[in-house]
Amino acid sequence: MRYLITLLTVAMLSLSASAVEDNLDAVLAGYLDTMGGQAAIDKTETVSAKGTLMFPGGMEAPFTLKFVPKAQKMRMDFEFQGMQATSAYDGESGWSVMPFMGKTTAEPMADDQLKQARDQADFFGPLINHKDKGHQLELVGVTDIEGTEAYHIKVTKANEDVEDWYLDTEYNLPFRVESVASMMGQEVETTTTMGDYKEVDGLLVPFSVQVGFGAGDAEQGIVIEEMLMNPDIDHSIFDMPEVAVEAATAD
Amino acid sequence: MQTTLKFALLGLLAGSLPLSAQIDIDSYTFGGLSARALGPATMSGRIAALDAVEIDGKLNIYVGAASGGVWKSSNAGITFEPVFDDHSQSIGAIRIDPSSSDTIWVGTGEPWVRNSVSVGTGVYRSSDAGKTWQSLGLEQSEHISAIEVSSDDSDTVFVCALGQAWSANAQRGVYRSSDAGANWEQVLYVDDNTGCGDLVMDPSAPNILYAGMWDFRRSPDFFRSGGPGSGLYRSLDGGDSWQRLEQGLPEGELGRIALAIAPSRTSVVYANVESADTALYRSDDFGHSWQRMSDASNVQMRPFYFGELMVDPTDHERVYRPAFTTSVSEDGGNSFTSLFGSGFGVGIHPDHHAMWINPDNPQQVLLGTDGGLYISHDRSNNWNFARNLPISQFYHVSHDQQIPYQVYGGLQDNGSWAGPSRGPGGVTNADWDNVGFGDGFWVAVDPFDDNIVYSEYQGGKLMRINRSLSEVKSIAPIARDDESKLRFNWNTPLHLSRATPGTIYYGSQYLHRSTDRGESWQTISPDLTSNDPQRQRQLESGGITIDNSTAENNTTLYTISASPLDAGLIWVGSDDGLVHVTRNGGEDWDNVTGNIPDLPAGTWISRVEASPHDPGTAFLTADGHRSGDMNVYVYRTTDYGQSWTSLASDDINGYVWVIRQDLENPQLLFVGTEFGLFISLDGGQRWARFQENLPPVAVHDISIHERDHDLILATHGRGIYIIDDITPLRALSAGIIADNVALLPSRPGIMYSGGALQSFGGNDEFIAQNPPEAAMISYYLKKRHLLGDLKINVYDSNDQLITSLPGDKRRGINRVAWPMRLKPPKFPAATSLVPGFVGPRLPEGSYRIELIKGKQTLNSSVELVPDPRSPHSAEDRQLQQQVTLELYNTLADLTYMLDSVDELAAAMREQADELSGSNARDLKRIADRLDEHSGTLAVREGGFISGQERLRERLGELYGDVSGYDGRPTDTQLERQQQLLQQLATAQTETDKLLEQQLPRANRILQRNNIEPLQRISRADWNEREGIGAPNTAGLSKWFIRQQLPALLQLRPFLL
Repeated sequence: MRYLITLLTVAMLSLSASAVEDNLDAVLAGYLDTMGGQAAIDKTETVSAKGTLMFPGGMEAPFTLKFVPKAQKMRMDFEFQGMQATSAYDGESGWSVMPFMGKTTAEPMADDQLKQARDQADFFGPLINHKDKGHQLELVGVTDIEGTEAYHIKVTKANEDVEDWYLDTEYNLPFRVESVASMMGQEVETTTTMGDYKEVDGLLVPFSVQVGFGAGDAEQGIVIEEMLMNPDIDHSIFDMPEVAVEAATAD
Repeated sequence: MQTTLKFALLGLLAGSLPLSAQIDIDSYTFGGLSARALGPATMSGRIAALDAVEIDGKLNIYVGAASGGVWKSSNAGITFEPVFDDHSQSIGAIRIDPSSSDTIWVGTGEPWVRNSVSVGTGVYRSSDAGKTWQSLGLEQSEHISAIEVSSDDSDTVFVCALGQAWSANAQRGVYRSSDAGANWEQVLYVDDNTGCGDLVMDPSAPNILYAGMWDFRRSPDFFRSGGPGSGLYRSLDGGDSWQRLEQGLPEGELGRIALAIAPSRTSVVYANVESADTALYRSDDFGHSWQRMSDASNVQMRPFYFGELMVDPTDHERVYRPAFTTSVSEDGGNSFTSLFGSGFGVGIHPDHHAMWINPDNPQQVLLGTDGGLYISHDRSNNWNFARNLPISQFYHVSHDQQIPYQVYGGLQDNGSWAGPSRGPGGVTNADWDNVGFGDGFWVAVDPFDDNIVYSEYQGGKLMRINRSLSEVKSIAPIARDDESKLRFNWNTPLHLSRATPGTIYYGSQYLHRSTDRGESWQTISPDLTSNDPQRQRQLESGGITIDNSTAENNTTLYTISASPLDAGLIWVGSDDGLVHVTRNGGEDWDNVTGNIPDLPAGTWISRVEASPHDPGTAFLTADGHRSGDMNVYVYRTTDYGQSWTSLASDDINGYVWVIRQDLENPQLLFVGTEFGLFISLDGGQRWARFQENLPPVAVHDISIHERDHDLILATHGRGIYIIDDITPLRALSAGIIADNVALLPSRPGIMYSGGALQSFGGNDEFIAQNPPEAAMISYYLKKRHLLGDLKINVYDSNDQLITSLPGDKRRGINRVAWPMRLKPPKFPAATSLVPGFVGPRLPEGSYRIELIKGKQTLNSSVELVPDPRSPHSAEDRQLQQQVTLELYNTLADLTYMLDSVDELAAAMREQADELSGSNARDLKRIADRLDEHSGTLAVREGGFISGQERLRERLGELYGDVSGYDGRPTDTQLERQQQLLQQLATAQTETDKLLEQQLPRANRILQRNNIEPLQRISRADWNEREGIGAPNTAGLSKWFIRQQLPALLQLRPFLL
């Protein structure tokens, strides 16, 4: 209910979209307000989610996600053909278990994976608390993405990576991110589309994320089925185990 | 179902009304309805400009296509991507800033001004190596021959503007900017007919420039190269002043001049000068005086078309002359030898327009031809062909009714080709067959025999080809004694009757008809052109150098359309602006030209199109660009041509090549122009450009597939595009556009058999993607969906939920792919992958679709149909479906069995960690015992290529094998199934026995320690947890393994 009221407020604010279009702070404030406000973010200690990864052609893999946003910890477990795979980032280093080719022990991440993991561990994304994170934001202007009017914010991260974020001008919600990911030594342009925003404990979170890699490739879908704010999470699950890990149990 | 009915009714209503309400659309109304590039790159297309630079040892190549945009390779030509898709696709010049490899200049408008040349829109610059581009003016220059950037100052740039080809204009000559393109100054101008044909800058003294000024003009029926304005100019002061150079150069009128400075000795300058006696000239004193050198045939060859000259970067005596073929001189231009013998010996396409030589390694040479890009690593002795540039220039497209259907089309200087609309693993270059040579135009397949194809080449030469034999029969009509010499357009119209299959029409100045596959012809019209002798100057065409390639043939028929509804009703249009119609098979012809309002007399009729819905209705487009008239002309008549209404609009951009009326929705119109595809949903009142994955490339022809409902586009520069299934577009009515959300119909999902076998050919070839192997679910959203659910649920006939799919959320049409399968099979934990990544295919039939958007729910249905080609009997297919489903369920049985044991073992270990002493030890021992048992049923050590297999792996393999073939399983497989079922039964017994012994033991330990006893999860609870419903056993349809390996590769980002 609270979020409905927020939406109404933002919708009214957005009547004067042109007045704020050159004002980055107003756009960010609108976003922050829509998504639930700084207080709701600040009280988020842990997050867990479960859902399904969807691949073109009908392959699916159920997954669980765990976050400790303030410590930038993240762990993802997914299952494919009964095999449990894990990738995790403990705020400093990352590791993964990918048993599909027969290796069941944890391995440290390569640099480009680590970079992705670090990005993923930033649960609220680079727009929130961007100054603390050392990111530079620039409101490029109002543009058109697939027929939707959008604020274009160019994000230059502390590590000098550049991402283009697009927020709709009605609710100030991000729905498109364009970035360049490094994969297996190759630069791949990545287009991420977010939608199906839903309220979880006073926070508005996208429950649907589609990721397209490169030109023309079919998209992969991430569908969140359930998300919990501030569940109990044992912080040791983010540490790299010395032997094969048991999958974190799904909530 | 009701929704489907509603659409059907809407369609009927629309069909009965000649006019509909205006439907407000823009490009985003078409939403995610996307064009699919079919290529091919096998013949590629004309390349007009090249530049390259080595960065960190990697060769970065920029290719400027004559009408297919700019393509970039960052890996020396192995892969290319288009980087200029928002702008003019006609490229004249590319220059990389010598001081900054990220700064790229592009001049649009090809300078090789043949009859089919496109037009540009000025100068562009990228400062991020091609990612983004800024338009920097000179929009009226139309064609840009060269750009030079000062090596001293990146902001100082010269543009060599050829100017308009079809009319006089002032924006031509040499332009200079001192502020990186923000402002331009015209520093060399001769007159409104003379443009800059070539420009070179001294690389070591950027104040020295040479410009070849060229007086030329094209018209629909004539070409003139040369005139009083032509001349060679030099500036020694950075363009402030220019001197005309004459000493040693030929007297009299000059034509086009190609220029090159020797980089290793810049006092040496070469000029290929068109005159009455075209020859190569050389200066050794910075252009002050010139010496006549070779006049070899390749030097003299078609100077208007071949304006490139190159000097080896390290050897000022080695001169390359790209022309019909590329010749090289090693003696400073005295003599030339061809690099390729006759020009055909080495398999290099003739007609060479662009060249680049690596300044740091002259062994490395790039060559741009009429048939694509070639790369040499041994100073142009041997060549690699770039197979990754789908810049093919189609004139027309047609299709057949095979499965998959084939498309047919002819191309500029690249013959005629046929290729499939989809193929195993995609459509490769090798999937295309050559069905004609020379310059190809119309191609048509015989309605009674897919093996027989009609195609043509320049000069009106018509052929009938037996594809399997590659046997060609010439079948063009000839003039009878009482007829004038036949005049055929460059792009001679060939038309197959739809009302009377087997009847072929062919147009000279007369209309010819054959009913015997071209063995004989009847002339069924008088001369339907103006027959104006002033427009019949082909023999004199060319200017200084006669150039009679038949490209300027005029006073000819250009377009034919026989009504599919009335065999006697035929429309024709001519290149000199006349439109005729007959309603009695050619006995009487009515000249309806005068009824067309506001069409300037003599304007080339680019298309007449008889309506497939109403005999009195026809559409007409006209194209005046060859006279400098770039206006949009689109008309409709509903009274056999007695009156015409203009459907032109400011929303249509570019002179018009073609119009098509949809086969089902008469209000749906498609127009192809020089700058793309435009669509109207309301019979031509409102138009919007279709832009999803379709650059603003010239759309020369459009074909609509009756069975598959695909829109097939012939682009002149980017090959064939297919918009798969326009059914949703047909349903976009005014009412639906006004809805917030609406489900749209789609064609049935076909469950194709077969798939790709292995191929490891590298990634240096363009491979067209197939449409998704899925049923498409389509819907319309008035605006982007952001808040709450947007998903699609699919239900079977028992109203069991089969799957839930995330919906796309963009404005306009959205399409979601449903793979037509059950969820992937369950597998117990293990360490190896087994075949069986996707679920069994569902039975054919109707499935209910539920679209959920927030609180709204809409219902529709989607049909699944079997592959019409399937050779398997229904009985065999049912057996296969049954066995597949049994194995799918057996896998679930095994998974439950092992999951339940594994969970008990895990729980015991967890408790053991809390306990100590013998309790902990005993509990762990029991867990070990359970693990050991599981390990006998699923491979949990070694894994990949360990050669290990247990029941899990055996079942998975059998599931993969049986489900991957749509027909009857082998007897061996059926026997294997029984074996494995027996093994499973044994395993179940053993498991139950083991748990009967061990679980009570473990629970006794737990109870001793006041810990809740453990219990094996029930099958019902497990089913619920894993989302397994009671599967519909009514008979599963087939599925196949084809996507499994590619699909696994898609997991890559998550498997890293």
